[in-house]
Amino acid sequence: MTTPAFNSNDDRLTAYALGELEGDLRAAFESELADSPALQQELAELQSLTGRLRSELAEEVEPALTSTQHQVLMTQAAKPVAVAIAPAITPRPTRHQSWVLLGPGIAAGLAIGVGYLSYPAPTMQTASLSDLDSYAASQPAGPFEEFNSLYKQQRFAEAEIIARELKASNPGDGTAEALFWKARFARRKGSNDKLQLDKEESYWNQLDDVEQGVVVSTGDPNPLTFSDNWSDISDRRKFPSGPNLSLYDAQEAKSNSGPVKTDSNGNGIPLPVALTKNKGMAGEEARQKRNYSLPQLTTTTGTQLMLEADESGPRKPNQLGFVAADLKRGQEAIKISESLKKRVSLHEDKLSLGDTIKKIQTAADINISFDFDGLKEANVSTTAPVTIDVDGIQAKSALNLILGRYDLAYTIDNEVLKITSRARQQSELADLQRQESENEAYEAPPENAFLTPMQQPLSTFSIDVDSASYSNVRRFLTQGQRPPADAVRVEEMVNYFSYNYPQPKDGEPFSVTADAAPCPWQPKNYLARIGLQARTIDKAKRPPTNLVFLLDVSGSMQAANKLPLVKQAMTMLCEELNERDRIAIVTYAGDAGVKLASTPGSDQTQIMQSIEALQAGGSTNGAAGINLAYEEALRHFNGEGENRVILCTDGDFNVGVSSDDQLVELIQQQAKTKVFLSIFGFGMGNLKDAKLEKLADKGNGHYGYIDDLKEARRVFNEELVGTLYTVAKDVKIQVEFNPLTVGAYRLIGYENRALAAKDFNDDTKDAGEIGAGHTVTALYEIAPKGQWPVTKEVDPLKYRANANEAAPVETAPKQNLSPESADDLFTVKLRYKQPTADVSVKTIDYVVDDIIGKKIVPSPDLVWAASVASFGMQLRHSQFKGNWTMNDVYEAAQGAKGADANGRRREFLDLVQAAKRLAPATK
Amino acid sequence: MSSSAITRAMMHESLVEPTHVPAETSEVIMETDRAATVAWLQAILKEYEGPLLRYAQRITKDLDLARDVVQETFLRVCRQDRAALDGHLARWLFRVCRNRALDVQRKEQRMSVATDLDLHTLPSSTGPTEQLELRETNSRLLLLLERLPSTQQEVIRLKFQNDMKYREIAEITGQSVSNVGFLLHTGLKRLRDLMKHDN
Repeated sequence: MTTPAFNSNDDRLTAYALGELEGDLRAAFESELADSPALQQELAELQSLTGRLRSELAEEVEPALTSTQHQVLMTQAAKPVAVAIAPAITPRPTRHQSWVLLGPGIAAGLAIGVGYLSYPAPTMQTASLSDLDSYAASQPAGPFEEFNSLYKQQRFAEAEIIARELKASNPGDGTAEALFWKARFARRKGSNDKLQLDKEESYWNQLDDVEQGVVVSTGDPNPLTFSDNWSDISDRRKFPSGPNLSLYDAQEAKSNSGPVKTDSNGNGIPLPVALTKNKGMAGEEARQKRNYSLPQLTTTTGTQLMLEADESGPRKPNQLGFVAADLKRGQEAIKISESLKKRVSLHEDKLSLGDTIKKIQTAADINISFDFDGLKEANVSTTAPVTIDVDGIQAKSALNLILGRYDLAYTIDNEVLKITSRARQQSELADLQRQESENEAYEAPPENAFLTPMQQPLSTFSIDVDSASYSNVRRFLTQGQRPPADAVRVEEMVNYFSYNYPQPKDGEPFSVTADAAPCPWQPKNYLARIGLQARTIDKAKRPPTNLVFLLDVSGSMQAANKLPLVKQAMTMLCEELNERDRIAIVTYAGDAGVKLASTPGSDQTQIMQSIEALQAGGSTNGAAGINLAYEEALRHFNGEGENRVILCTDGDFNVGVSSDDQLVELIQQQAKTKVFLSIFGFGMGNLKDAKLEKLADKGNGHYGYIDDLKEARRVFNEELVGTLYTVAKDVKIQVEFNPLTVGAYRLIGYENRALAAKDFNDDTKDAGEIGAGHTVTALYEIAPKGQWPVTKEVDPLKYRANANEAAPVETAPKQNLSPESADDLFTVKLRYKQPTADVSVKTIDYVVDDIIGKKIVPSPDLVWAASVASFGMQLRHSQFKGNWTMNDVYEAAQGAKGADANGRRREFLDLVQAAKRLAPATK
Repeated sequence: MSSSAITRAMMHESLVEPTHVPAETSEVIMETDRAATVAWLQAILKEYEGPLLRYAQRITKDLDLARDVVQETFLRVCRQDRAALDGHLARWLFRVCRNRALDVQRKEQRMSVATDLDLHTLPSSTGPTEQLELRETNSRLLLLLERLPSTQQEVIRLKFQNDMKYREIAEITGQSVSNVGFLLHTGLKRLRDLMKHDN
C-alpha cells in the first residue's frame, strides 16, 4: 500500500496530538501515521512544541485583583440578589455560515452589497489553506462574528461601528464596505420605522386618552364634572361617519407617503378651537397633551376631519372656511353640519332665492339667515331667480349650487347658517387662521424705505446668512396658509439659495461681487447686487470641532417634528464626526443637565445611545442650559478648531430668565468666550422666531429653521461644513452712493441688520458671521437721478438747494473727484474679522459704474435673486413690490432656474404656485 | 376603538409579572444562599482569578482595565444560578470575561485589529518598567508567539495555558469547533516555522 503524501496542512495532525481526534477518525489517522515516517516526525516535533508551550505559558505571571476589588466582590456576594437563570451557552454559528448571512429587513441599498457578500467562504476541509491562512491573518474573525450577532439583535448602530472599524483597517475591501452600508441603511431604516411606530402608538394613546376622558359613568354617585367643551368632544366622537376613521385615514395617508413627509406637518389637533381657547386647566392640559401625541395632523388636516370621508380632491378655500368656522362653534355647528348632509330634492323654475332657501331650511331642518350686507356686497337680492332641478342630493351641495351662481357662500355663525358674500366668508377664514398662528411670535422692524444719497450717502448693514425665514415660509405655504407678513424676511429668502460667485483668492475668506442691472419690477429703476462667496472647506480637511448640543427637551418638544427630528438631525451630524471631534449633549427642561459629557466623535456607540435616550418632558429653563452648555464647550476648548454650541429648540423659554433682554444679555456674555452659537428652530405653533433670531445674532451665530428631515439633512449633513465653520465674523457692508447718479436707493431686506454708519469702523459692534461655502446676497433697488422723487414724502428743503437741483455744500462732490468716479453708481467696502481675531480687516473698494444708457442683460443668478426677493416682498405686502405679480415671479424664476443640482429652485417654483393659489390675505 | 383596546390588552398581558415565592420562604433561601455564595466565590476566585486576569489583559492590553473586567465578571457570576452553571463554569467565566474585555477595549479606543503590525508594538498604556518585565519573563518561544495573529494566539493560550478543549475554546470565542482546530493547527505550524527561521 502506497503511503499517501503527507499534507502538512492537514489539521488532523494537531487535533490528534492534542487528543481531539476520536473514534473512526482517530483510528484512520493512526493507521496513516503508522505508515508515514514523515508524519511521525511531524508529530514528534509538534509534541515537543506543545510541551514547551504548556510549560512556558504556565510560567507567565498571573496578576491578581486589588484588595479593594476583593472586598467589593465579597460584599456584593453577601448581598441578597435575585438569582438569574444562567443562559444556556450555545456555540455561535460558524463564521462562514454567519458572516454571509443577510438579516431580514435589509434596506434597499443592500442589494449592492450582496454581490460582495459572496466573498469566498473559508472552508475548513479543503486544501485552499494558504488562501485561508492569509485570510485569517488579515481578517479577524471577531468583528464579523460580532457584526452578525449585533445585526441579528438589531443593534444596527453598534454593528455600523464594527463595520466602520473593519472598513478603516481594510481600506478598499468590498466586504467591509458592504457591511458598513448594510448596517448604516439598516440603522436609518430602523430609526425611521421607530419614528413611525412611535407616531402610531401615540396616536392610539391619544384616542384612548380622549375616550377614557369623555365617557362619564352614569352609576357614579359622585360624578366628575366636565366643562362644556368636553361634551363637544364626546359628540364628535359619536360622529356617524366616524371621525376617528377619517382622522386615521388622514394620518395613514401621510405616513404612507414616508415618515419624512409627515414631519413637515404641524402638531395641530382636531379639537374645536373653542376648547383651545379655554384657559381653564383641563382644556389647556388636554390641548398640550394632544399636541404631543398627534404630531402630524395640522389644524388644517384636523379640519378635514369634519368633512365627509367620501369627499376628495383639493379643498377650495370656501369649503375650508366653512369647516374651520364649523369647528370653532362646536356642538351647534356639528348639528348644522350634520343636517347639511340630509338629502333634499328641489324642482324649481325661477323661484326667488329667498323662497328656495326657505325650502332647503324646511327640508334639512336648519336655521338659515341672510347676511344682507353680504348680499348687498355681492349685488344680489333675495328675489333673485333660482332655477334648479335636483333629486336627493345633500343639502350642502344644493346650497353650493345655488349660492355659487351668485358668488355667495355660507358660514355657520351664532347657531345659524348664514348666507353671505364669498369675500366676507373668506375674511372669516382669514381671521380663523390668524387665531391659529397667534401663538407664534414674529417681530419685524418696518420695511426699509427709499433714502436719498444727499441726506444719507452711506448704507451700512451686517450680513445675514440665516435662511430660517425661507424654511418657515415654506412650511406655511405647503400647509396652504399664507405666512404672516412679519415672518417673511426677504434677505433670508434670497440667501437660502446659493449663487455662482467666484471663489475667493488665496488667503481671503470671501470674494465680493457687485453689479447692477435694470430692476425687473420697476423698469425705470436699477437693481444692484452685492454678493459674497465664502471660501469652501473640503469636508475631509475640515478642522476639528468641539460641539455642544444644547437641546430643549421640554414638554413642548415632544411632537414628531421637534425632538424626534432633532434626534435624527443629530444622528446625521454625528455620522460625519471622527476622533478629532468632540461632542457633548446638554439638555434643559426644568433642571439643566449634561446628558453626554464631551466625548470624542469616534465613540459613536456612546453618542448614539445618548441621542437615543433623549426624551421630552418638563418645562423649559433656557438660561441654565445655556450656561451649562458654554461651560462644557469651554472645558474642551479647541484652539485650533471650531467651538460651537448648537441650540435646538422651539423657542419656548418659560422658566427662569425669560425676558428676551435678559436672555440676550446672557448670550452676549457667553459670546465673548469665542464659542460660536447656532440656533435651530424646530416645529411650529410654539416657535418664537424673533427671539431665536435675536439670540443667534447676539451670540456670534446663525439661526436656521428645520421644518423636515430633508432640511435637517441639508443643514446637518450635506452642508455641515458651512454650518459649523466660520470663515469670517462680524462682517459688515457699507455702501456709499454717488449723489450725482443715484436719486434714491433702498436696501431690500436686512431690516433687522441695519447698522449706523459709524458702527462700520467700530470693532466692538457685533455683526454677522459667514460660514464656509456660504453665499450672501444683498440687493438694492436704485432710482437713478431724475427718476426721484416719485413720491413727495419730504418737503423740499428751505435752506439747502433741492436735492434734485443742486447738491448741498456738505455732500457736494469733492473737488478732486476724478471724472471717472463721477460716473460711479456706488462703492462697496466690507469689514470683517478672522474667526478668532478681535481686530477687523477692511477690504478694498468695489466700485459699480452707472448703467444709464447701457444695455445690461442681467445674469440668470441675478434674475433668480430678484425673483425670490419679489416673492418675499409680495408675501409681506411690501409697498415697494412694484408691478410684478406671482406670475411674473414664476416666469422669471422658471427661466433663471439653471442646473439646480439640489432641487431647491424647483421647490421654490412650487412654492410660488402655492402662493398664487392662496387667496390674497385680507388685512 | 376596538383595535386600540385590543392593542392595550395585549400590552398588558405581556407586562404581567411572574408570581413570586412567598416572602418568608424566600428570606430563608436567601440567608443560606448568601453564605454559600461567599464561600463559592472564594473558591472560584482562587481558581480563576489569575487565569482570567491574564486572559483579559491580553485583550485589553492594560492591567487596570483587565482588573475591572475580571471584577465585573465575578460580580456577574454571583448573580447567576449556580446550579445552571455547573459543569461549564470555566467556559462561562472566560466567555463573559472575553466579551466584557472586548467591549472595554473597544471603548478605550485600543481596538487592535489582528494585523502583525499591531502585535509588534506594545501598547503605550503599559509603562516602560512593565514592558521590561514582560520581555524578561518571556522566553524566546513566547516572544515568537507574540508574532502570530491575535486570533491564533488566543486559541493557543486557551489551549495550553488554560487547558481548554476545542469545544470549550469554541464556546468561549464564539467560533466553530472546526475553526478552532484550524486556527490551532495553523498557529502551531506558523510558530514552528518561526522557530526554524529564528534559529
